[in-house]
Amino acid sequence: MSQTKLSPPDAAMRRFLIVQFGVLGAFAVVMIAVEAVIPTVKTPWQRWLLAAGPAALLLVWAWEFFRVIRAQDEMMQTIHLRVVATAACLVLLGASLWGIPERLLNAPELPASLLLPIFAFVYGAAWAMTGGRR
Amino acid sequence: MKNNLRDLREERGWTQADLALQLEVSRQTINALEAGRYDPSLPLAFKIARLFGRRIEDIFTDAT
Repeated sequence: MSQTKLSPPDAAMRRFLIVQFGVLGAFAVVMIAVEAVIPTVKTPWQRWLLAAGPAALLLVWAWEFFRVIRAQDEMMQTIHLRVVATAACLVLLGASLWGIPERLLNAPELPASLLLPIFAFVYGAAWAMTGGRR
Repeated sequence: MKNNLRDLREERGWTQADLALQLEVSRQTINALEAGRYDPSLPLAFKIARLFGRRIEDIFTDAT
């Protein structure tokens, strides 16, 4: 009966991995492009419109992230939530540690817009170490 | 909890992916169930029992 069709949770995960790669790649490209273009734009509403581009990509990623977790079965949802908690704690810890020299020693600021992409990376690594080995 | 899920699946010539597709769970979940690393919820246990035409207690047994 061997089939090549994937079960709904597996198909959702495969779709998410492809979408995540595309969206976060696009975010990096759009962010660099907007950063280069925005100083030349004079009208405030056009500047806001340009800034909305990368913001929209992060919202797409967040939407897809919640969607893939909802599409998982009972066991995988539990693992996902455990990995989310671990990754979120690690990112918060890293950001807070960075904040100490930032505040006390005038170290460069951590760009808050990178927190979600960093979380996505840490989550992916944590997933590979826990959920992926099952 | 022990189970004979692997034997039942192999009797039918199904892969883990085939079983995952029929139960609408991930292949990793099937792997964890067969290895005894995960005990299913009651709804999933009923679904498995229905698929194989057995009673839950014919598939899952208390390990103690």
